[in-house]
Amino acid sequence: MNTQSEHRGRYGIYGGQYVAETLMPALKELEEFYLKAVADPSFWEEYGAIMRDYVGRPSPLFHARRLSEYCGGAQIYLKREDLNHTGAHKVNNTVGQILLARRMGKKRLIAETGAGMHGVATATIAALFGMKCDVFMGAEDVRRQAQNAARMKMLGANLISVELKHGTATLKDAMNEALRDWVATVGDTFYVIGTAAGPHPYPEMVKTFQSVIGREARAQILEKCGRLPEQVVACVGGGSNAIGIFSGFMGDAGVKLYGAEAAGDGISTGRHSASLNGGTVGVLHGNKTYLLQDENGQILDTHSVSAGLDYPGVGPEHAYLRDTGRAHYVPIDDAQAVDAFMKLSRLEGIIPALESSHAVALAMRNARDLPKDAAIVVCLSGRGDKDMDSVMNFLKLK
Amino acid sequence: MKSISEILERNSRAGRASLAVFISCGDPDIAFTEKLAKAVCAAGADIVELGVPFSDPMADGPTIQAAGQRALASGTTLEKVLEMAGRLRAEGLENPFVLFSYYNPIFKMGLGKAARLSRENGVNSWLVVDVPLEESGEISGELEKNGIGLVPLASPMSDDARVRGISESGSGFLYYVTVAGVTGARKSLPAEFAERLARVRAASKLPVAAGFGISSPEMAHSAALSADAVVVGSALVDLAFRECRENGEDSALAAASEFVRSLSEAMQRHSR
Repeated sequence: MNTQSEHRGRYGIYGGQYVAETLMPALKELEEFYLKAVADPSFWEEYGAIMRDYVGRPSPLFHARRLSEYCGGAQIYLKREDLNHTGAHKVNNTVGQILLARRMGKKRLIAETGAGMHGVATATIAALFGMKCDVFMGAEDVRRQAQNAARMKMLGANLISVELKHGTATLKDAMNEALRDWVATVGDTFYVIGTAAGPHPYPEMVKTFQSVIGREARAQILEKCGRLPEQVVACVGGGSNAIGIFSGFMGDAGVKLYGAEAAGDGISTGRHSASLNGGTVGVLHGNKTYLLQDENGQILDTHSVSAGLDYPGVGPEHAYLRDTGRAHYVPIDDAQAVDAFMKLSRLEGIIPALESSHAVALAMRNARDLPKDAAIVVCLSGRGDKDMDSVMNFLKLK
Repeated sequence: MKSISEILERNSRAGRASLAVFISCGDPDIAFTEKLAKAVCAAGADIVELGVPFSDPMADGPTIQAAGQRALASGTTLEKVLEMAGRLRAEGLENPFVLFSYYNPIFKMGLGKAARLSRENGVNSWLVVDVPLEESGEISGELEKNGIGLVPLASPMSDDARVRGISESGSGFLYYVTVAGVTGARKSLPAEFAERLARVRAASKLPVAAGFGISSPEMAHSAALSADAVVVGSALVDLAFRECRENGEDSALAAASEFVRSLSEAMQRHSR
């Protein structure tokens, strides 16, 4: 099945370039440079060298024996993106985009961030190349991901806290503000989008740079098990780590693809971030996709214990994979995610990010229904150091 | 109800540029907006842009963001804006209406229904901020079917060939965003404004309106020397909100009328 964008980043009816005219010439220029770069072996040599020597790739695939035993079913394998430099998968994409920004002669980088992992990854690569970097982060996220906010400052980035008069400022609002900045600075500024959403060519570009996860994971599971897994599981906010790992198995019809969406307090409470399970089709941030919105097309406030999944939309390719049935998207609520967070910490000595904990929770649930000789590959997209306060607060409150 | 072309041609023959006024519908409520629309037309606005509030206005600065939030808080929806347009028509207001919206409220209502309600309520044209030339094919069919025009946007980033293509995709006028940036009152016109406008007008098949940042009679006057129409938005939104909050509705309507009159008069001086 071909899910590559064919025309202006269309995945079925999803995707597109719904942006103000001021940004259109910039998106065209970006697409041009992107297509040239990915066809240029020297670009990939440079990218590969940074991945190997600086990021620490390939990331290992770890057999979580005690967790698998605890679940009593399929063997769970963790793709350890948490071991990357900066602590998450986000850096795979920021390296690619910032190499592109350098080729385009852009002097300044901007980024939006939710949990702060993309902000940290952008600030890190900006430091590596001596570039100016401004990161937009919702005030609510600056508060609950204070450690990442501090890391960005240490790295020399300028952190802009986005405040709202109405509602809680989170990832969506950071992205609005980044787009407002970009529209005024588009001549010399490169917008490093961290998720597999936004206007074309971003979803395709982010997938390309994150596909290293899926390529490695497929080779690693074949080497370890001598066969493909039954399932691949990843968390989905905007969906960058999920599309990255899915891409490696898209052509393997026997491998089921699962995305864990943030169900917050539960879909039925309305306090969640699960746009594929609880949303309807609309247009936001440059693409057509599933959104959490009211009947008048106004975007709703979202909720999740994990700042990185706290977003009312989702990448357009996930919308398409949902409709075609190639991937399945399952809601995982805050309590299930925190439970998986604790289980993985205690059983394997690995503290996962709250975002990744959603994927772990779904894998644990799915594992129980599978025989012991089955295999599930989970994308452990990031580490949980940033989440100590959130988890402590959650456990205290509950 | 007059067409946009009719108004622009009439004013052009009289040697003056047209004045388009953006109002943020539902700020602070739709009843006030209805009075405001009548007041600005009586004071000399040629065209009214009916701004539909959206929760995530990515192309707008603080003034229109805040106005949109107030409008949403008062329960304003696309449907209510269209119904208001219909009431204004029923009361005999003939000025062209441009429905100014982000795409999602329109998409969510359904293109067919939004276009039909626009026709039934006397809207002349749409301006959809986040539907650029490349995506406009998606909405043009329903618009044509209902006889609704599409006001296309160009910006300082659009080259001549693009301006030409953009102008061919729409009708009425081409809205030239004078600065790369978000909406909001500015102190002066950007450098080389007149030169840029001349280039855009040469490339465009449509008359050209200049908007974004124009906030005083002096700026409107300068802009009118180069453009076929001038759009004023944030400055009026700000003024109406402040007066309304501090001195009440009547005072706000009077202040808005006075401001629009001063814009209109400034634009008639030194006609082209």
